[in-house]
Amino acid sequence: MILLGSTSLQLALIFCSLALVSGFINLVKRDLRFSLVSRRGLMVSAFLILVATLALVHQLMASNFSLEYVARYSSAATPTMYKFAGLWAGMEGSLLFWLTILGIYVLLIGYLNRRRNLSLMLVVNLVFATVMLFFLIVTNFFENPFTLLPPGASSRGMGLNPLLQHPVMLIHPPILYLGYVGFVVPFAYAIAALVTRHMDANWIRLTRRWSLLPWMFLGIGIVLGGIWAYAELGWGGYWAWDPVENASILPWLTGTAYIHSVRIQEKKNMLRLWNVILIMSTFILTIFGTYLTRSGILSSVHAFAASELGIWFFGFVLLIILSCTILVILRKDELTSQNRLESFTSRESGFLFNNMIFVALTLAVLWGTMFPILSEAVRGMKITMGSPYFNRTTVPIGLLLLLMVGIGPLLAWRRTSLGTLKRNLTIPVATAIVATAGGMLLGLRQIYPLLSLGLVAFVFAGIINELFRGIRARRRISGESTLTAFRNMVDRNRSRYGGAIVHLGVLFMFVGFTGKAFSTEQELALKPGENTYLKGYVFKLDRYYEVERTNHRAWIVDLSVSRNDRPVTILRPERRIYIEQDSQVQSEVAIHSRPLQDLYAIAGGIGGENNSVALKIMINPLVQMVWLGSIIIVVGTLVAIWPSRTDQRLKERLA
Amino acid sequence: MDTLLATAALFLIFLFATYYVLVPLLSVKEKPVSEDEADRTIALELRKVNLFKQIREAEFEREMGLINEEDFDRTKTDLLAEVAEVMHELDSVPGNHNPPENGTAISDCPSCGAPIVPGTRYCSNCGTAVGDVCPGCGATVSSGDRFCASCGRGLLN
Repeated sequence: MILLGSTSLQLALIFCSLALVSGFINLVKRDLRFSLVSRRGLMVSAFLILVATLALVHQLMASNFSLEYVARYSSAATPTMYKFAGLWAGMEGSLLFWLTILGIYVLLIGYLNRRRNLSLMLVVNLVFATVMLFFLIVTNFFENPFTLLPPGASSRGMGLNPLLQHPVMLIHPPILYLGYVGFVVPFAYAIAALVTRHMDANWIRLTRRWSLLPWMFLGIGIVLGGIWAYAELGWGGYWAWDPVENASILPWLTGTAYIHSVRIQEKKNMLRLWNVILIMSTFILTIFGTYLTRSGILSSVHAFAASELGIWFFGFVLLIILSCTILVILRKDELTSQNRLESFTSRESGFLFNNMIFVALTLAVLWGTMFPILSEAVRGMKITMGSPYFNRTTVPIGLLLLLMVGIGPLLAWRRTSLGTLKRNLTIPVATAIVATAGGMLLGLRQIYPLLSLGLVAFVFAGIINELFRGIRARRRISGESTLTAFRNMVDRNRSRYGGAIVHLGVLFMFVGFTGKAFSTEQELALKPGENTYLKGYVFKLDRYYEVERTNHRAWIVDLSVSRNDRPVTILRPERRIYIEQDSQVQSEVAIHSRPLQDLYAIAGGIGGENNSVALKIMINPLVQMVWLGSIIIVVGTLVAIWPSRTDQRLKERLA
Repeated sequence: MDTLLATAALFLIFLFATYYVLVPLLSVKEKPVSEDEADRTIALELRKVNLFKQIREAEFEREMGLINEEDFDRTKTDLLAEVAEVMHELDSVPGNHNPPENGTAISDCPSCGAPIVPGTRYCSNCGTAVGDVCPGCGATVSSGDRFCASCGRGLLN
């Protein structure tokens, strides 16, 4: 199996190089035979990568500790599901996993386009081959997961990092990677459009779903990372502006700008240059994100995968930036569009403004993330920008964005007269005023939460009003029942109403973010039988006890919670010692989620001379809204992606 | 023994893969078949459908009260002008000399005599209703049609 894995990787490298070379020959000589060789080479290479990955998974499951990678990230006592997660626990495995996801996308796109868009696909395949080749070189020559332990050395396996032994870690990396890697598809099409000089909205149309899907996956991946941080790291929050968190949100921000601005190119064939730049930036930021995680250039909670690969990634990122810049300059004339904005009060200018805000947000986050590196280069000192910087810059920009979420859908494409806009704004503005006044009456005094409340109400009223008016208009035209009218209305314009659902999800998330401002916490030591009060809850430490489990020993604390003399729950935070990992100590958080607040407890030192337990208890309001919001966003994206009946008919007609 | 077998199997895979990838080179060199024209036609057709979709969207926005009558009229005129451009481009694609959809020849407006762009519902000069467009695919249909001849959609509503 080891031989099968390592040889498959080497063969994949050979076939991928062949695909790249023959693709270039075809581009120059226009010889169809070479384009077929290129296509087949790429497919075979992708297939061989899948074989190598299966071989590694087999070794992980079989606990073959003669393989260095398996010895480092697994052990006989590691639970089976976490043995599988070993695939993305270390550098070598996660790079191979990156390739696997790329391979899946390549096979899928290749299959779906086997008879279509041949001239575009030729260049698309070349881009795929270039990216694949880079990762194959890295995996084969620098970070090979099939390296054997030195002769004579033996290992019983060091086991998976305890922090990664959490159910979310089984899905967070794969989904995040589906997002990261997926952006290679629209990027490749953009390059193909530039090379083949087909710069109308065709490539945008072809990649519409392939942009929304990675965007959705990246978003889910980021939220899952937040859930993991919240439930595992024990500081009570889900987002800390950690460099690697930032690295994942950066392409998501530019990606979000992109999925908005392409709508203008679809409708009006405008913003060609801007869209190309946005998707290039998004792809570059995904590679940059992988580089940040893998290089160890910035210390972060993800430092478990750090290595010296930085320089290679940096070179690759530079190469992409350089090639993209040259290509854009060469096609400068074709990228300028003939159409222009008809009116300032139109959906187009709303989208444009939204794009500017997204770019500002991206730059603010990028600046804060890169500042330690820049400060070290300029002043010789690594100065890290903490949460205060990020909150100070991103909160106002975020609120401005929320305002745009409310105004945008009220604008019609091309032009909306000011009078009509004012009339359409009446209900949302009135709702916002009522909500803000209500908040103030309830004692809310901080400016940002008040603003957030008002804006959430503003957007919510706008969305509901839009849906209501849409259904009413449809009923008037066709005489359908409310439900049928709603269904047909959504089916007619999936982008618009899928988007409306996504915006509803964004609202829930903002409610959750706002709730975080009202978290309360207490740190104290309790002996068995003692209790404490927090926000009307009584936390009583009943007892603590020791349990022996397969790969660790745990001390479990029973903390019963009651309110108004009624029992609410028993929280059971744990303190664990993982013997295989040099007796690494780790705290396991206990969370009791209610719709409006989470009860959160974490245990520090247990026992000792005075028989007490060091505890941190928190009450976090509205955290569930963040998770609920992200589910709604996924639903909205799926609604937008789902083919409408009109699309299907059109497909049949053009087939 | 196991290693030997694995090596043999791998060698066979390698041989097969190499044959599969390189076999196109053994064929006679063909002149590249240009897919561009077909792709271009499809892209233009889709652009046309997209423009009709935008007209429908604008109509719906008017019904919803998102735009007033005046804005709607200007938007529709602009969109129809773009449709005309796309139709013109479609005609200029080499090898694409199909008659306009449903055999509708370019005709004149019964009211003012201005030329009517096939696939449009109103005269771009005087606004007289001159035909209907299938809500499913954007093809031109006559006012009495029960089904769209292009995509088969029922048109009674």
